[in-house]
Amino acid sequence: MGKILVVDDSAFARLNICRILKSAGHEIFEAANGREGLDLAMALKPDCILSDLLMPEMDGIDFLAALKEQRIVLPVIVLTADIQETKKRQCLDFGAAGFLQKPPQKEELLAQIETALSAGR
Amino acid sequence: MSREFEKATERFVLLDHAPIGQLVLRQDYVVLFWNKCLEAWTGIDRSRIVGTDIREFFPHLGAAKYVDRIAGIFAGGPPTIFSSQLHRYVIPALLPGAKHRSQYTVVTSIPSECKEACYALFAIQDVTSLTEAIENHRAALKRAMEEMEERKRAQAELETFSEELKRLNRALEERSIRDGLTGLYNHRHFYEVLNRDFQLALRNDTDLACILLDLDHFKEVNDTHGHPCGDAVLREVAAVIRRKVRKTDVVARYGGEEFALLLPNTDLSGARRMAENIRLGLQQHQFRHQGTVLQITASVGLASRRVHQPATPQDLLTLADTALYDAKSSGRNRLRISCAVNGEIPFAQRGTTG
Amino acid sequence: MKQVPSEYQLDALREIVNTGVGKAAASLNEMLEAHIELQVPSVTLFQLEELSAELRDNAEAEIACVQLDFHGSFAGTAALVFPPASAVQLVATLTGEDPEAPYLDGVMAGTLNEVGNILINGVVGTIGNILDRPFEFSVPNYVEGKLDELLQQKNPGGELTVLLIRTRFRVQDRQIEGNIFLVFELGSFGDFFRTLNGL
Repeated sequence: MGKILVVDDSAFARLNICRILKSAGHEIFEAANGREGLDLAMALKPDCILSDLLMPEMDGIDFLAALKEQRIVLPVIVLTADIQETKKRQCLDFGAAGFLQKPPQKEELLAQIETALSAGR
Repeated sequence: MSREFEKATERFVLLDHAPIGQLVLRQDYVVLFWNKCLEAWTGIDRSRIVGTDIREFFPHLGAAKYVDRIAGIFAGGPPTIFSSQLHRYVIPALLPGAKHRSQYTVVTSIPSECKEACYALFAIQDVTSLTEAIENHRAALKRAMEEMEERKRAQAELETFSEELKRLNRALEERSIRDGLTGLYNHRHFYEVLNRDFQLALRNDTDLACILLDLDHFKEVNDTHGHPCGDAVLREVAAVIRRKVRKTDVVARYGGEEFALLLPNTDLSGARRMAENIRLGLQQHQFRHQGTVLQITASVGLASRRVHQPATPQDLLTLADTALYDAKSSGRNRLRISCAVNGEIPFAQRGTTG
Repeated sequence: MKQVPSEYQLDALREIVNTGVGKAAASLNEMLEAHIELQVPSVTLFQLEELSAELRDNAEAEIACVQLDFHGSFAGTAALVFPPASAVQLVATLTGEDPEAPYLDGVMAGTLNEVGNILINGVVGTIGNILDRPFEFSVPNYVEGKLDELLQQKNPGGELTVLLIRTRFRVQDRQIEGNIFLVFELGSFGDFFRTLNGL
């Protein structure tokens, strides 16, 4: 049971993710790009963030970097369609806690969220 | 467990009759069916492999590039292809020559006994002959290109040698036909040319003029100013003459201070103009050597084949020489034309001035 | 009957396509030595009659095409199309062959079929995945010909909706363009969206 911030420019993608998370009883907040995500992260202090990579205005990598800069320390799981080794490494370098390929499978997504939340507690 | 395999065998036994390797995998990679064609290709009997994880026999199928794509098939997704170009084979099968069969494989999803997942049906086509044909073609092309390169290289080498040889020959030739000091043709070569041009003129009935030119009082130049000066003068004379003649004219150093010219296709009046032009040019030219300025003149003799009718090349030369002698004895620095008729100098004219 | 997709539907389509193409890229990179970078695809919807207008000269052009039929709660054909020059470049890069080689034709069909298939499967497979519906598929087919003929062949005289996905990818400094056409039979596209809405 955690406060989770979902950052993705596609309403459809957010819809799917939120449905899965809500079914496990988590509280959801949504942002459409990195900039909004940053604002909400600072305001709401969620337990965990789920972020897409390819977004307008501020993409996933910049978002991760900005979080680091603002010293916002909380687990970020990256959820993206194209999982290339280079992108994966980049995200982990910027402090991502996990890396998932879209579309998310329910079990795997919930499992990674659990791990992220328990690490925080 | 074995009930499932029995059912599978029943269901898929039709696949035994196709000349294609066919096998069915369950989601956990256990082999449910292995057709006769694959038995023949691999030598693995179906009783050995059915019921076993295929990766125990073929570990390479555990690689990510297969697992991820086949996972989609188990999930009921669209068929996937493993081409011979990108994979060579899926199930290694050796041909008599110890070469692997090239395979084109399509994996499709088929309904299974359970609702959650499908089976994967592999249809493996042997495309070895096609692949071989392509490879042979490629090898032949490569060989042809290499041969062409080799030929080009050999050709280039040959050309270099050939050029070098030509160059050496030319140099050699030049040395043997030219006079070292003036660069004009030497005496011997002049004879050769005279013979050749005379025969040519005879055959084609064209005219040929011969001019002999001798520098006046040249011995005095050497005695007074030294041999280096004399040499310089000779070189300068050669240069002056060369400037006046045409491309087809032949100029040679005939003797110490004597020069010979051949003018092919030139009639007597044209030759006379040329000879006079040269004589005057030499007379007017300022010969300089280390501060000294010299005046040089020459005596000139001229004979023409058509007009004077020498019988042989030597005769033409002799007629020109006689005319030269005439020029010398009648005061030098002048041109004398042979007065021969039919190749003969009239007795009355011999030794007289004119 | 012209469907005008809503903003939500278009967003869903784009997300599905991005995901599908992304998966295909990951698959290709796993398999090949050459690194493939797929750029974010653009997605457009139109009726088949509008195809010629949309593509202008390309509709008449000779192209290389990988086709896959699907049917289930809705039906259609997915076709991945390359202009022949792009196809040759792609195959040459992936197989290490010389693009000028005359025997490349023999190599092309197999390689393009596989690569095209991976791309199409990425998109079509994701559609099936997200909509959680069973589909049946034909065996993928490689053909060369004129684009409009190839698409019309599937449904002569029928009214068809076409989903055009323009993909561009870089392989070893070569920029290669391909288009994926998803052609839906009449009524099918409505079903597709209804299923989407039901999610």
